[in-house]
Amino acid sequence: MTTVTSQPHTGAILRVNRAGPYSSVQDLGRPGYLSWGITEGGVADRIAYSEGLTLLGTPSVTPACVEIFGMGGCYEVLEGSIQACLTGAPIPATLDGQEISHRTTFAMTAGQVLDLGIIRGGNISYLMVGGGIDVPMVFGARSTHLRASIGGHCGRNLRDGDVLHVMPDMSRNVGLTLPEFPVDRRDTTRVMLSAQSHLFSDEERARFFATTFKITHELDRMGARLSFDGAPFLPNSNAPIISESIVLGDIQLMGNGQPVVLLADRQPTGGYPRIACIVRADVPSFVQKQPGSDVMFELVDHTESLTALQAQERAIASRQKHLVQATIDKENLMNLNSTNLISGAVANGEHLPWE
Amino acid sequence: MYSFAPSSFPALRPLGDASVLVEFGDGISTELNGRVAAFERVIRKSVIPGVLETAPTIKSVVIRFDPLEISFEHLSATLRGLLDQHTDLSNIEQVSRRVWNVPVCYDQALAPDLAEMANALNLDIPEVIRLHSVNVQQVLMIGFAPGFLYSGLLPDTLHVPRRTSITPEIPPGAVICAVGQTCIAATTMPTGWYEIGRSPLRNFHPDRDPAVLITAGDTISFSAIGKAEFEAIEAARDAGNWQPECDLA
Repeated sequence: MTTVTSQPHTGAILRVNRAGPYSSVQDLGRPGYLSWGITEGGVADRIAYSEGLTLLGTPSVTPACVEIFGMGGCYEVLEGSIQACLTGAPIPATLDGQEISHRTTFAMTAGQVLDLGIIRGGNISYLMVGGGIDVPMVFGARSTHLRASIGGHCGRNLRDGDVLHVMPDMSRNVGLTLPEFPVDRRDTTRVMLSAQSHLFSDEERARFFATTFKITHELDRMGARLSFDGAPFLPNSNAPIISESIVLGDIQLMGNGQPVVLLADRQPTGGYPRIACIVRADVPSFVQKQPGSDVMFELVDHTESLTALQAQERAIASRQKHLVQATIDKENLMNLNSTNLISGAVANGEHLPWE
Repeated sequence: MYSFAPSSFPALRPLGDASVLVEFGDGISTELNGRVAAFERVIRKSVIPGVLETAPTIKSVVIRFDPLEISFEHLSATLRGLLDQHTDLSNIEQVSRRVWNVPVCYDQALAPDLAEMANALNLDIPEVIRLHSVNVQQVLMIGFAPGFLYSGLLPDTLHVPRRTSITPEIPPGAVICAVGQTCIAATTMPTGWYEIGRSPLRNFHPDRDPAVLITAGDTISFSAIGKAEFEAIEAARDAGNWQPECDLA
């Protein structure tokens, strides 16, 4: 079997020549600090992240990646070589002018420039690199937490000129590709009740679940504002609400009755009423809904939400089986040869139709 | 599908499919908040598999769990069992015996809304400072932002509603007041409360161990300091030579 690998080497170095406006280093986040007022954070689309792990052949570790919101940017390898892939929403990408396929591993070597365009068909893409971005662990994670200004690269979004180190990585497995995730093409986003659902009348809740909302441009790691036609959604009484815990996916109604869905970098507590909460299985598809898309919420129970989550986890776990080896063109092979990446064994070799 | 407004407390209330609240009441009191802190400690000590994290808030404990590891039904039964075992949470060893001395400078340069709050209370400014600075308060929760502490409850004479306008940015250390509570900001943030002073306390500092000093269930005792003293403490703090005093009750 033909396989591709490199000798162990010290980590590569990647420079952000031009940062997208909302790009940050993320991993699975840091549960455990809620009582300090720090939400778990982490990647907004965990399915896209898990696909990157499958492609890179490291499903059991959680390397840090670059999460890109909206617009890509430009990255140059200063030293070493990197195995990488792009997952999440499709993002136009070229490496030294050569088009890079989505959800496909590729190699980047010193001097090469990766140019990422404007995300299409979603909001968030991931630049995943073998070994992961080497930033310090802060409270058990490498995720950037913007509200706390901790983690990631200097606790903030990436900026032009930032230099990112990449952890040493042995595996080289270029041209592996994954078909699109078997998306459950539902018309509705499933929700359950939340902390203040009972403060809304039956009629107001029924109207909420019968309303078609639109995703607005006010969408970031903290939350997504929704718009709709109709009267604002108001609780039965305007008595002040005692600040209460906010969880991922909570749908909060602001003082003007407009909904905001709270996401990965939300605040841990708040005093606006929350009418419902998106179930875990539907958070990844929700965060990829583009501004202008319609969203309707459907109330489900614990049994239904668990069934959906279990099915999704099974699909994620079985992704390895769907890895295929794309044809590698000669130029790519030349690149591989020139960077001494040949020979050895790769974790995912079992399924390669490439001998 | 669910019973909505709970008819009796403590009540279990799902928040989406991966969190549950144990709610101890529907108001704010230090007694209720003390039971919250005590029960949060009971859950943490029980180490329930599948529970990712817990946090006390003003009137409830939030429990985040992995539904793939523990079902809501199983977790609810476990929580009910713990509640049954600890019907009198006030009997639990006091959650915290820590009493922190928190200096506050009420100088008008650092208290942009003090005059407005005095006006709303029909008191003069020195009287508001006197009434506020003598208080010993319970830390009700850390919420909204890292290290951001809520404390209460102030005497009725100091109760004001939230302001009608938002201050877009208050600095770390800002002491803000409304709805019978005092909060101290640990990071820059917006607020709709009255900014009535500034403390040299930085309750969140990621490079410090622990990063958050004062936590829910602790007690804080305010003390009024002048601007010169405030500046001296800030300088000492920045040089790594100051931390708020902590006694054990």
